[in-house]
Amino acid sequence: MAALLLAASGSLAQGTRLAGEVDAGGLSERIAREKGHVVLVNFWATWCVPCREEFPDLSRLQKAYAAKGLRVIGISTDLERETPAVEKFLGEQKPGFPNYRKKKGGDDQQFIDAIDASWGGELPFTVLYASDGRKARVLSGKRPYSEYEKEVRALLR
Amino acid sequence: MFIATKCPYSNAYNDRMREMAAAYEKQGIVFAGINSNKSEPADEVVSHAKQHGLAFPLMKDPENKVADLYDARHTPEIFVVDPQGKLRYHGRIDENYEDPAKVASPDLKNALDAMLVGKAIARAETKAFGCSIKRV
Repeated sequence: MAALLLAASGSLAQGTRLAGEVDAGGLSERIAREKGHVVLVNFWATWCVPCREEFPDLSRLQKAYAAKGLRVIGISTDLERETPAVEKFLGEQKPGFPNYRKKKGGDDQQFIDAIDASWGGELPFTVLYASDGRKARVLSGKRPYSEYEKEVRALLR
Repeated sequence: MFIATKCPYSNAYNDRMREMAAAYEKQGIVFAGINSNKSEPADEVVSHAKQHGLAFPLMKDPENKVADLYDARHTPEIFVVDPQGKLRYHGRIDENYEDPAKVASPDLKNALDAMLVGKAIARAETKAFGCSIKRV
């Protein structure tokens, strides 16, 4: 039993399983728990090709800057029925950061607007929060590693 | 309508787009599809339309100039322009990409129906998830 628990917690630590479901309020609380760290929240989906393409860069970013105070959080917008595909993808990627699925139900527009009024719903979409918890930057669409790195470094100063 | 050949979110609406285009064409509303994805060439747009019976006019926007003009960000994304050239509706077709039988908020239909009878559009701006337009 202990081994099973250890295996499960190891999977979560590596981000190879979904860490749970969040709505906009839950995500806000999750971000607040990381106060003192720069938080990068990336919204993605398995059906979104550019999301999958940039995902390894986010893992790389987390590994490079975690010790300096970066926390990456992934939010899958996949449907609940797509969970096997989400966890297969996470198992392949081993992102090293937690990923949640957007909570089922409700109108997606409420979720989108709660995250950022400028967000039209396009994926991927990334929000950076400064260490004091304020929203510092939003990035629409797939971005190169160098751009994420530049934005994160500016906030880590 | 900014649409795509490979985006699952856009493809989920192929039947709805085809049916709405046919229904509203009789009432004087023209549906037009625009593909601005650099990763989806014109021949692919044509074969995709044939495969899914998309009979409305389709245009390839090879340098995403139209997408830039409209600030279109993803597919499917709808812009409704009236005969005077004024933008009257922007956003989604409806809120349920997963199941057309369970749509609770047919936003594009509501907007078009309101326009046809000269009423104000209750929700002229809506949002849904979609695939980013792959720009040059």
